[in-house]
Amino acid sequence: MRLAFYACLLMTGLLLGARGADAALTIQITGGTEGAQPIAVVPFGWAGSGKLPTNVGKVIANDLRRSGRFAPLADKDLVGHPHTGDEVNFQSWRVLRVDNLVVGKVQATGPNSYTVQFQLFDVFQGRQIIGYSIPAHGSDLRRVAHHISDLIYHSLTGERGAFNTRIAYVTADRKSKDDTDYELQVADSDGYHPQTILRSSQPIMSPAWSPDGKQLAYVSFEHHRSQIFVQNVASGARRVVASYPGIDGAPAFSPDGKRLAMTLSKDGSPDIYILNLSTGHLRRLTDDPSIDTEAAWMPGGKNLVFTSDRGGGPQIYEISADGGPAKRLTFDGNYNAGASVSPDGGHIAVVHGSGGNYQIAVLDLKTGLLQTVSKGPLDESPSFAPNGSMILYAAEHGNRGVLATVSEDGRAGQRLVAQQGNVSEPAWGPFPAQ
Amino acid sequence: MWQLLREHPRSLLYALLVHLVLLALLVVGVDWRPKASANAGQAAPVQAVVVDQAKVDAEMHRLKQAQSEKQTRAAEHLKKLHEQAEKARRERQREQRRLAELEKKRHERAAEQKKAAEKAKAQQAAEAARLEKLKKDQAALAAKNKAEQQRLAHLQAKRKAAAEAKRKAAAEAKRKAEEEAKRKAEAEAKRKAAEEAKRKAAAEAKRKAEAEAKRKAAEEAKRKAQEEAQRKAKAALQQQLAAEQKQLAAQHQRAVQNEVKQYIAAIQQKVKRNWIRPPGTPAGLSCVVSVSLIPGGDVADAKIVKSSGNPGFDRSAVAAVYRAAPLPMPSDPDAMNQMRNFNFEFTPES
Repeated sequence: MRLAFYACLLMTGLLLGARGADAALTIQITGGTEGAQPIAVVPFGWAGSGKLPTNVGKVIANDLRRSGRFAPLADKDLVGHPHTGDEVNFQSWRVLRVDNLVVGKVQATGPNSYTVQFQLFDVFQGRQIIGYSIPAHGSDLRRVAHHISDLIYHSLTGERGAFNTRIAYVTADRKSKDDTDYELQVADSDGYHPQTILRSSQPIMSPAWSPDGKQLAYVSFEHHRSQIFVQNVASGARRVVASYPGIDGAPAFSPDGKRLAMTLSKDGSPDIYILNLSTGHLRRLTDDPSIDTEAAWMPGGKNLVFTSDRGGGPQIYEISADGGPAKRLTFDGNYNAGASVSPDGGHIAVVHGSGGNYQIAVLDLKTGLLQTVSKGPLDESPSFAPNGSMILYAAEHGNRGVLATVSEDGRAGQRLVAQQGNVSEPAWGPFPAQ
Repeated sequence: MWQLLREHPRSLLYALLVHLVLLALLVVGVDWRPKASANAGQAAPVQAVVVDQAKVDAEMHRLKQAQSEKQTRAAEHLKKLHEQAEKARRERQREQRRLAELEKKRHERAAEQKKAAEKAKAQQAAEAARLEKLKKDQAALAAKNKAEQQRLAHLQAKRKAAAEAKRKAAAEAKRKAEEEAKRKAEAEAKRKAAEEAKRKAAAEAKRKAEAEAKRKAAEEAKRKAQEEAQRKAKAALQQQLAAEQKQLAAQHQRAVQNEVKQYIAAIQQKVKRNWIRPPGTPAGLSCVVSVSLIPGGDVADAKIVKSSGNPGFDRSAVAAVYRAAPLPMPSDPDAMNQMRNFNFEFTPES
C-alpha cells in the first residue's frame, strides 16, 4: 500500500515535473547580430527570342542588396537555376543557409510585351511565401523588377519597399571653363533609366518632390538669379513660385502638398518662409539674424526642421509651422546641416561635418544620439527613402559628385550607377500612387 | 415265343394270312375317295359366260347327291370288312387263350415235382435245424445260468457299492457340514477381525487426520509468520529501494537538468550565432518562437507564438532557429524529452 503510494507520488512528481518543464522551458536568445538576411535570387528564365531586355533577377538582387536588409547570394554560389517552384530542391538551398529563395521567368507575350512571373520561397519551411505574374511592356521591365523587389521586401520585412520609386538630382557637366551643362534628372531609385526634365546652362539647385510625386520644386539660375520653380514632371509644365531679390532657395513641399517651405533673403538674412501654393500667400516662419535655411517638414506638417547657424555653427533646429521658438536638435560636432526627416519622424539625416570630414549621420530624435552612416569625406544632401530604410545622398568620388545610398543603420552603402557629370543634391521621391 | 411258334406253326400261318388279307384291303380302300377336289384346284381360267343360274343350281344338286350316294356305299363296304376282321381277331384270341391254357398246365406239373423235392429237402433241413436248435438251447441255458450268476454277483457288488457310497456320502456330508461350520466360524472371525481392523484404521485415520490438521495449522501459522516477516522485509526493502530510486530519480533528474542546462546553453549559443536581426529594428522588440524538434535535433516546426509586431524581426527569429538546426540534443532520453518542445524568446538586448 505504502509502496503504491510512493510510486504514485514519484510518478506524479515526474509527470508534473515534465509538464512543468514543458511549459516552462523557454530559452532566451539575446544579442544576435544585425545583418542582411541571406537570400538567393536566381537569374530569371527567359522564354522569348533574342536577349532578355532587362536582367530582372539582377535588378531584384541589386535592389535587395542595396537595402542592406538582404544579402543575395553571388551568382557563382547558386546551387541551381530553377525558374519555377517545382524545380526547386529546398534541401540544396538549406545547405547554403539561405532563408529565402526567389525564382522567376520572363515570357514574351507579344512584340515588346512580356509576362514576368516570380515566386518567393521560405527555404527552411519549404513553402511559397508569395508568387505573382505581372504583365509588362519592354520599357517597364525595370519598373516591374523594382515592383517585385518591393513585394519581396514587404513580404519579408513587413515594411513597404521603396524600390519602385524615383529620384531627382542635378548633374553639372562641365564642358569648358565657361560652359557647364546643368540638368535636372529623374531616374529609378537605383539610378537607372535617367530622364532629363530640365536642362540649363545656369545652375540648378535643390530639387524637391511634391508628396504625390507629380511635381518637382527646384531653384534655377536660368535667369541669372535664383528663382524657385514648380514643374510637372510628366508634362514639363512649370511655373515660378518664388522670385524675390536675394536668395530664393531650398524649397520643400509640406506633407499635404499645399504649402512650400523655402529660404528667402528678401527681408535681410536668409529665413524660412512658407508659401501657400493655392493662394500664393507667403508667411515668414523664422526671423533671426543668422542664416536659417534647408527647411524640411516633419510628418503631419505641424513642425519643420531647418539648418541655422544661430548657435555659431550650422545646427538643426525644430520649429512649429505656426512659428514660435526654435528648438535645437543637434549638438554633436560643429556642423550639422541639410536635414531630411525620416517618414516616421523618428530620425533626421544630416550632413555631419567633423574635422573637415563630411558624413551623413542619423539623429535619433528619441535618444538624441547621432550616428554616422556614411564614410565621407564630402557627402551631402541626405534624403530618406519614402519607407525610411535607406538614405540617398551625394558623395564625392574621383573628384566628382556621384549618388550613393546607405541603409538607415549605415551597414549597407552603395554607389549608384554613375551618371554623366557631377551629380549633386539628390531627392528621393515619394511612393508611387497605389 | 419261338418255342410256342414251333409248337403251333399252323396257328401262326393262319394268323399271318389273315393279317395279309387285311392289309391288302386297307391299301385298296385308299383310292376310293373321290377326286373332284383335284380338278377344282387346278381349273383353268374360264371365259365368263352368263348361264342360267337355275340350271347351274340343279346340276350342282345332282352332283352333290351322286357324291352322297357313292359315299354311303363305300361306308357300308368298309363296315363289312371291319366285321370280317373283327371275327378273325376273335378267333385268333380264342386260339391264343387255348395255347395259354396248355402252357399253364405244363407249368403246374413242373411246379408239383419241384415242390416234392423241396419238401424232402426241407424235412432234412428242419431236422438239422432242430438239432442245431437243441444245441443252441443248451448253450443258451448254460449262458443264462452264467449270466444269472454274474447278475447276482453284480447285484451283490452293486449293493455293496451302494452301501459304501451311502457311507461315503454320509461321511462327506458330515465333513461338509463340519467344513461349513468351520468356514462360517472363520468367516465370522475374519469379519470381526476386519471390522476391528476397520474400526482401528478409522480411529487411526482420525487420529492421524487430527494430527495432520494440527500440524498443518501449525505450519500454516509458521508460514504465515514467515511470509509476514518476508513481506515486511520486502516492504522494507522496497521502501528502501523506493527511497533509493527516489534518490536516484532525483539524482537522475538533477543529471537531466544539468544536461538540459548544458544543452540549453549550447542551443542558445548556436541559435544566437545564427540569428541575423534585420538592420535598424527598433529597440525593445521581443518575440517567442515555439519549437518542436525531432530526436536528431532538426526542427520539425518553429512558429511565432508571440509576435514582436515587427514581421522582419519575427521572421529573423524563426529563420535563426531553422538556420541553427540541427540543434544540439542530449543523448539522455529524459533530457531529450524535455528538449523536444520548448520556446525561444528572442530579445536583442539582454
